[in-house]
Amino acid sequence: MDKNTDLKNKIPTEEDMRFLLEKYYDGETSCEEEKIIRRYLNADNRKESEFIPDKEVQGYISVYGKYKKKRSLNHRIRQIGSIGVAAAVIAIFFSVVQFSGNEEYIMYAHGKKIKDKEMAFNQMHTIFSEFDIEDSDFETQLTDIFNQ
Amino acid sequence: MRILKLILLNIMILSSFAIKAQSLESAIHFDGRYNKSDKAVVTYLKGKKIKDYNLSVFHSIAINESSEDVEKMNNTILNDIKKATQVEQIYSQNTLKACYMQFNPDDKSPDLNRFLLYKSDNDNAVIIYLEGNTSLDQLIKIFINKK
Repeated sequence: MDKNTDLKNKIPTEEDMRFLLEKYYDGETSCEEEKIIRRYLNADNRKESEFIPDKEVQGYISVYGKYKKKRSLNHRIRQIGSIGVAAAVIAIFFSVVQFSGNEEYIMYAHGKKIKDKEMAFNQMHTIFSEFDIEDSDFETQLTDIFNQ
Repeated sequence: MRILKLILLNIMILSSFAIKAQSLESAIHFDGRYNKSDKAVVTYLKGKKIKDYNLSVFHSIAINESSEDVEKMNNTILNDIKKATQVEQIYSQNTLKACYMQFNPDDKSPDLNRFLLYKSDNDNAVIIYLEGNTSLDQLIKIFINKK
């Protein structure tokens, strides 16, 4: 009978454990065999046990696993946090741009930029007055249309 | 990967600030191409100053002595007339001389009507793009038939 199959069905002896641990350190154990090792070492409370160094290795692996999990979670939280902060900064930036953009006035007269709010406002009225309808024939027609 | 995510986020935000007049063909005249032209006067106003007129955006371009630009404006205006919900236009000798148009709000500002006012005469033209919570009749009353 295969020793591997046999181990699953009985309480392992010290000899079985030596066999399994050797396999374990060679990286050849299955998940089921690793469970057997962990179960055995957890249950082995003898002070003079030859498996004490193996218990320590298992303990270290177990602690490292938990630490790694925690570290990965912290890393993920930090990652999400930094994306959130970046998004918030961008949102604040655009809010400020939009807020400051609540009032804008730009005027270019024959290629020259003029930053004068009053002048731009007056220009608006001047432009509208271009549409004022008094002098020409078509303007008279336009008046007639709007007065209908 | 993180940088890529940030770039994508930026693109999404920036695209939400796209030009509102985009669906109008005449929007091409308002992309800044006339800012440096010595034949044009460009005026842009937004905010408090024009709020009293129920306007949120005033953008005008007055072209002088450029028949080429006037022709381009004429062409886009003629296409935009088809999209307008209200149009007032005047022709002289089969040529469009003046036109006032109202358009439905776009998706980005569902409360704001959009307007185009246009007037041309040989090689001179004036085009105005307006946005506001008002109507074409109101604008004509306030700005044009005010006397």
